[in-house]
Amino acid sequence: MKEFIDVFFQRKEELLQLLFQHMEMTAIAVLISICIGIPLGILITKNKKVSSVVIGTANLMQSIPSIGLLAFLVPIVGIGERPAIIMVIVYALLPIIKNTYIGITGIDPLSLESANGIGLSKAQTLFKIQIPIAMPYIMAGIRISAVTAVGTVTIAAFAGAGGLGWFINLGLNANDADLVLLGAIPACLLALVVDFVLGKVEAALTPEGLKSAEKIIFRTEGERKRRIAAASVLLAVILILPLCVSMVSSFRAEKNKIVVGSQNFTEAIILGNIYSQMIQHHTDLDVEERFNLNGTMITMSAMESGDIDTFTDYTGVLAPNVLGMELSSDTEQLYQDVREGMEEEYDMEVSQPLGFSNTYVFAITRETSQEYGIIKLSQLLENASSLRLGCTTAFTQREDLLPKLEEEYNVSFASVDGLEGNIRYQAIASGRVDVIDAFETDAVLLDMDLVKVEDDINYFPPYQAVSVTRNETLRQYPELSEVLAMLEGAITTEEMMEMNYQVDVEGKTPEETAVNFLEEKGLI
Amino acid sequence: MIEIKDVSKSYRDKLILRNINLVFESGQFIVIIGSSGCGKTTLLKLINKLLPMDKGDILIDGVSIKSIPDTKLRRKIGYVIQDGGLFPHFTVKENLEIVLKIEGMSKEKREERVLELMDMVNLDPKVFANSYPCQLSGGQKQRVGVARAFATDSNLILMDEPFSALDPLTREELQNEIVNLQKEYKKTIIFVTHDMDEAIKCADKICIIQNGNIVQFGQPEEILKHPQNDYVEKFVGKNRIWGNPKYIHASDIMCRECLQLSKDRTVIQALQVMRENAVNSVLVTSGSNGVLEGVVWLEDIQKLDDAQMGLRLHQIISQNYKYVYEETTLQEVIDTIDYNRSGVISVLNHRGELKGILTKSRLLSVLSRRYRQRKEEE
Repeated sequence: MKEFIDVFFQRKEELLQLLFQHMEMTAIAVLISICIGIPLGILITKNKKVSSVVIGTANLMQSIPSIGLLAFLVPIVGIGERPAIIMVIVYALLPIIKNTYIGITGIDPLSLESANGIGLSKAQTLFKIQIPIAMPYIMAGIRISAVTAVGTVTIAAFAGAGGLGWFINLGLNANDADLVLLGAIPACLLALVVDFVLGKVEAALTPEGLKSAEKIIFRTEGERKRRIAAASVLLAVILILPLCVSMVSSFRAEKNKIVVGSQNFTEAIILGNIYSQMIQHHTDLDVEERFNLNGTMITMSAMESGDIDTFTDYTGVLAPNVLGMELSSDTEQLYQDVREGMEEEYDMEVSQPLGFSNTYVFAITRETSQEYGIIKLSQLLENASSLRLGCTTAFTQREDLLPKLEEEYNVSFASVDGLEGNIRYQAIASGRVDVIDAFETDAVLLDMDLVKVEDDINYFPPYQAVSVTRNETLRQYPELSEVLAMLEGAITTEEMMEMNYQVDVEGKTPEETAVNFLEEKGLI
Repeated sequence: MIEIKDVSKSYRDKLILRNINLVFESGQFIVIIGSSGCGKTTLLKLINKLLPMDKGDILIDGVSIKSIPDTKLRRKIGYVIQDGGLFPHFTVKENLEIVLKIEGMSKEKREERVLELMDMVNLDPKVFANSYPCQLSGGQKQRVGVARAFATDSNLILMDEPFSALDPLTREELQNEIVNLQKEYKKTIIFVTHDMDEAIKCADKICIIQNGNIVQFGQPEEILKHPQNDYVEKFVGKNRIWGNPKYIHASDIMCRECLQLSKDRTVIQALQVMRENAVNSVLVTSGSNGVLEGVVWLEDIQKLDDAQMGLRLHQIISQNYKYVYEETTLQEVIDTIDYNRSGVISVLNHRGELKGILTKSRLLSVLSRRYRQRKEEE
């Protein structure tokens, strides 16, 4: 608890900013959903066939996993708030459409007949009779949508949109529950506040005559208007205010702006911060940070569309995933291939290696190492038949990893379990597996005092860290090249591991870790 | 005046109304009646264009409804449906003034009008103006519904089974009130129902529809007495007339064969006739045309001496007799007979011609036959 409070105070400014951003995205998405959903819900009451198609489609969209939807959207609309907002709209639409439809179709046909019979026009019937009577349903739909949207927006962080999901994502990467809570608790509170405020609005908009007879309070027209006004003010505070804040900030939007991107794991975020700090420090350019992008594919889409200008990745990832190349175990050859490939296919510049490499390693406990006398990969392979392997699914699937070991080296482990992320560490700590796959710079290795098995047979493909930058950006801001060059060969594997350790284990922010490192190195 | 000219209406290939021709006079209470699905509500809805007609035309005061825009037409025609059709989110006041508001009437005038309307249907504005429909009883709701139809002061009001969901007592109350309102404000009301009692009670004219055809259109009495076909008869019910004594006339129940003598006959002949028939009086007519001249009482003859037995009847007739006309209602007949010593009432037409007689025993047997029939029906 104390730790959580510390984290809260350390990051309260960041929290406030992310909260506003979160509210802004929620507000935009819900407002757009309302603008689409209510008219659509009304429109489909005219035709039963159309209504089942529309509601069916909305239902279907609702069932798409949000991460999948995001991955699908990024190549089309880029990264940042746009895909996030579209994703939220997709989920927010259904309750609004459905409730509007139900509210309108549920009106007593006798009321409509008499509206028609006493000579109200279609528009008068809609605005004076149908919408007011359906209002409680419509508002309930908006309420469900808005509350759900607050939750869905946390996913937006995966597309670099920020919001409270940023903390959740950071915390998940660092296995830091406090950080997760720092995102999750405000998100929960925000959801409760949104629900409360919309509940008030709903109550104000629900016509007295639709309540049960004993609950009716007669209000004059003036009183009713005042109630609605009061509810609207409340609503404006949570909906419109964040919009204004973001509008003001977007008016200030800088022209000479570099967008530094990063993927959503600790190391990438630290590197993103390092680049951001360096550019801010050494040039007059303004920097926008688009961190936490979910994986290389989304990040590359953002690079191609110009949503971000630079990010860091590894030669061993770029070659197969982006360029579709066979992985060469020759470090220098692979680097050259990647550099040329990125230049030709994407018009992007790959920097000189940053110095550290983050390749796959096998990690074992100190006890296992002593028991079997393993410090090198060749020794581990000899003993494989008596060792249980716990590794990521990617490791079991990628042809240059486990399958190649099994086929070419005829290695078979005692057992192989596909385990994701941090579960591997828990599994090896509790003794359920003996060997796990890891990345060389993983901080947890240090924290858990695991032994990295040295690759003496040059088995694992090289994963040299490099930065990738759009050539267009470099041509526009030539001063950038100098800054990027300052980081070439500047970070050793040990230094990177130490920085990961500071963030993942010691709970420092990636930003302060980056600043500390740069200061120590005299780079800023 | 509403003229329905050659109107037909189909719905999904099913003919609902077939070449309807009707004329409704202004200021009358017209009831359209028929079993469910006969097309009566369809006919009503054609008048305010809630449904389009396929063929024909409807003229209101000589103007085709086709030439009037839908909403404009409907605002000129009051419309009342089952349960009032009130808007649940509006108060009574708002329900009453909505059309006035749309038509742009000022707030002061609207408030005044709402008070008038509520007074008209016996709802206390202080109590009910700010109530919502869900706070009202069925009868109160329907009063508001009726008041709303009067709001724009339209001359024509359409009512679609307005009272069918009400309990019998409330229904009766509202039926009385609507008839009174109709007479007082001289509105033309076209009222759809499936309830014959309601129709007979309210209607100036009843229009009976069967399978999309008009089978009979006329005054209630006409329909009660002369049902056009089996359908109408079954619908009206054989004994319906007994529930409505105002429609039973002396001519319906009188005994057509009665003792009568020409005024030129002699006293002795009259005495003989009385003896043979064991009666104490005989009616005297003028002979050729059968105009009633008077009555000869047995007790008067007994006062005569033998020499006077040859007198002509007109010389001794008494004017001490009771008579009713053929169209005198049962109610009045019963009132009359109570004061008559002989128990015989003559039934005359307007030329004074004797058409039949009514006796206490005749009334008794007619009424008891009705009583027996009802018991059998039960």
